Amino acid sequence: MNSRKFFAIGASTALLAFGVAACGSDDSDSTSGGSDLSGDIAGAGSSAQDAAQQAWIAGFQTDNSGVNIAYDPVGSGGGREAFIAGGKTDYAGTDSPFADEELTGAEDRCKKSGGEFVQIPVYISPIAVVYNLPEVENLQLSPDTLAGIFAQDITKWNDEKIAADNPDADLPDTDITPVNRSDDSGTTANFTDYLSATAPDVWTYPPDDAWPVKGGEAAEGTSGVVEAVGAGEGTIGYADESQAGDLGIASIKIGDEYVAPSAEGSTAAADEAKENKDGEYVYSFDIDRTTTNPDAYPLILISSAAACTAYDDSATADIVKGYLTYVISADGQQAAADNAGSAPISSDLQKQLQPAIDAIGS
Amino acid sequence: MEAATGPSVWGLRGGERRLGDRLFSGAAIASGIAILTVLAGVAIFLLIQAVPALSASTDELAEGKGLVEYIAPLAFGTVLAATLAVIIAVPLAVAVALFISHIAPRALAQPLGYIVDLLAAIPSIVYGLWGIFVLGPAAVGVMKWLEDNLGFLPFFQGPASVTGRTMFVVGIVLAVMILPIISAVAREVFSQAPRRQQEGALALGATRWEMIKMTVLPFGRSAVISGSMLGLGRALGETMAVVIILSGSGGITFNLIGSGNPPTIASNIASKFPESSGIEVNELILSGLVLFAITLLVNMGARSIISRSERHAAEGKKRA
Amino acid sequence: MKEDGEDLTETETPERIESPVDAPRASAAGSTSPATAEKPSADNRAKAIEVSGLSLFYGDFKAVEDVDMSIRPNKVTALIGSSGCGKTTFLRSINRMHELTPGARVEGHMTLDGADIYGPGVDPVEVRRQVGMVFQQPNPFPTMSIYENVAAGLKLNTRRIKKAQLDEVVERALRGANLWNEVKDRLNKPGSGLSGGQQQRLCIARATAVQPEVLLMDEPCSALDPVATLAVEDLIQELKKNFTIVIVTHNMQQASRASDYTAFFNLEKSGDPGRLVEMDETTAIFSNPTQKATEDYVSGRFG
Repeated sequence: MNSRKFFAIGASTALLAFGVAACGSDDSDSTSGGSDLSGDIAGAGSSAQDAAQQAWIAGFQTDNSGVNIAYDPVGSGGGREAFIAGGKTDYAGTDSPFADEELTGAEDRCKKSGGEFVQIPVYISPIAVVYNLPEVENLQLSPDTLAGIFAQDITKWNDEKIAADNPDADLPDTDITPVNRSDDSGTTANFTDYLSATAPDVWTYPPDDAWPVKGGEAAEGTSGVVEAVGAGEGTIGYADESQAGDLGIASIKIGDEYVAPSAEGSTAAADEAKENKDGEYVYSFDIDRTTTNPDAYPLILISSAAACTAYDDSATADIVKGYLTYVISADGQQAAADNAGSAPISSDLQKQLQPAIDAIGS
Repeated sequence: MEAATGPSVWGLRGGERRLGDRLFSGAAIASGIAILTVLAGVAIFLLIQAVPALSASTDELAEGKGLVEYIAPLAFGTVLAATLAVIIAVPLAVAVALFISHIAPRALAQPLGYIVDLLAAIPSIVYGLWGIFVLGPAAVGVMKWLEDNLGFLPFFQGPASVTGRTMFVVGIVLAVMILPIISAVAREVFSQAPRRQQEGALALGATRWEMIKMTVLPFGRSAVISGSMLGLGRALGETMAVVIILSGSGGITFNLIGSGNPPTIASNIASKFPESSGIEVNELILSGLVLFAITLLVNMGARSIISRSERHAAEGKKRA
Repeated sequence: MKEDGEDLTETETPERIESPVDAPRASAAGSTSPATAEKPSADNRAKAIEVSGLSLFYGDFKAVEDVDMSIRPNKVTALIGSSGCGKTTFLRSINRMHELTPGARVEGHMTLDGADIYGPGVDPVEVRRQVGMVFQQPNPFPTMSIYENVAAGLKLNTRRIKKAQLDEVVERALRGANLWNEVKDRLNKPGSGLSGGQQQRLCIARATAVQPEVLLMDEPCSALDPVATLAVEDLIQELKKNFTIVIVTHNMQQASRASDYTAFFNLEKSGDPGRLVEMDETTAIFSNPTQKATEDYVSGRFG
């Protein structure tokens, strides 16, 4: 476990050095930013959030020129461990909520500075089912069919179950090559969670970061999956909708309709999600995967930010507070939507979360 | 004996050495110790970090599998990919080395040598991208043909991948990556093959190829072996190219052209580490320890082959 | 590796050759010199070599100029001369080893029993199978056993040869090289384990095992001690029953002891091409040379 610490410290030391250097050159006009915040903070974690984090950091630093924020996309697991270990990782981004020992560890870390643990959703991303089948333009899939394909029970595109979902399509006699992530990933966790919730009879595996079925096509990272699906005919995979490019995107059956992923649908699904509180400021959400509301698209990933209400240095607390406030604000969410293709969290949810952020540094 | 007790006629008393010598030997000893310390440090780190995985219960471990069940396919994939690469690379490397040392006209040989050496300078991630964007798609048709025509062999039983992210393609990419080291070692030694023996063979009426078979290849044999071992070592540890290319979703299989390939240890660590936590990290480190052991064995094997051939050469010289 | 033998000009006709031997095989038995009274054996394969207007080049450098020479079958012809006079270059041109040096080329005529060695379409590999060579340094193949060394050339010439037949040829070649008794109990030991003299005789056995017509020897004794040298010289006398022998030597006594004919090469000054000064029966060269330079050289006043 210590290895993780070396890794995180090494990375954030490098970033810190960079931040200090940048800070030095900015000193002369540090007051012109319109705020009196100044200093460095560093975050680490989810690579899914990386594009959004970069957008947030750019947006926040424009208004607060004395602040330097560095985000290291080491992965959610790495982010959680680095946060628990303390040190230079002031906040973390994570696709899966802190759970069990990790939660205890995070609370202990914050307690050392006399604070409490904060975990709030900041990033909602629709997951698209992407496919490469030039003959079929609008593929429609029910959860059972989708699960059958990824469980490798359905092996041909002209299988009668697929035909039943697509009465109008001319399905070819091509082998299906399901593509999954080879690395552990929050996208996989949410996709398998969706399958096990909506098609429990077909998909018998528990939700997991690691893809549970052997023998499919495995590719590294979202870009790897997109590339693999693009490279071979008859492929199907899952990826963040913003990364799908010009691949075909399947509509999945929700209630009685086939629904394509959309920002609105994802926001609606996030609003419908059941809120769990593991502490006063610790939010996690159970997405209602089996919703029958066709306006909601439940195949989404909700990624969170983790922080403490108090830090050894009150300047740090102020920056974290200001930053997270910006992140969940309409401006911040719009910046992420523009840069990372995420779905914004609703203003209702934002209002609900704001008190947790306000607790920081108070 | 008596002379040693008195002051030496050369003005240097026993044990007194010049400053430069002392500095040099001090620096050399320090460097040697530093390298050993680093090596020992890495080994100790791996051991300490791997221990928790050894004592963990099966359901704590990744994918709910036992250690052997988890690491065996990885070790198998590692050895399979590296072996495949060596099988492809060695004949090619020897041919390239012979072409440069004995067949090509000098004007062509030198630039060709540089170009082959340049292959070693390409970062492995570039090889990975080349494999996934160019070689993989290009190999899809070949793999389909192999499945249709040689499907009775376990290596090509299929079903052939439609994306080209297979062990077959990984083997080729790794082969290209290790080609320069093998061919450089071989070339160096081939060009030192004794001229009088080559002339002896030619004077017997050997063709150029027969001459090479009779004199150059036997002379370079141990160099080819040790170069291959070096290449094997590199192929075993190669990470990024394998991570990018290989669809490592399977277990132990000799099928080289399917989607379900065993991942390699290094690629599995790179792929799983960022999202792993707790005991799973220890398990990954344990797999790294296994890779360390495999690589160490290969390098020791190469060393012993090299030193044995050096000893042979020395004995041959003494007799001659 | 240009083979300029094809570019021979027709002006250099065989008439220019002052050939003492016109029908080599027929005359070989008749024209015996004092040193060779023996009759050629049944295995005799020796052939005559005729050289006319031969010049040898390394790139632009002319190493040997305009050599005319007749080499008789079943005779030992010694090539002598100071270092750099081109005698080894000339020797290597007889089995087309000269052209192995990058940039080397040949002008002029050379025939083996009437067949043009440098004729168009002639495969140098075929020439070398008929014209064997022994080198200055013994060069047995180090990875091969004594047996394999002798058999090496045979395996090239005859793809599939029966083991029994191979055994026989190896034994005959080793006996012919006066080596059989010394090595018959360790035929499977490496050839590099023999002494220098034994190694050189092994190389001679290797060269003769393929039954060439001519055997070239490039200072074969220069790396050997006097006893081994004598053994090789005795062997040369045996070998000429079956082969035509051309030997390059720096050792005047060796030339006078072992050869029937001697050719003296010389060069005017450094940078000039080497030339054949004169060639005659060895006794004549050493007792009554026609050229002053020859007399100076053989009497040790020169070179």
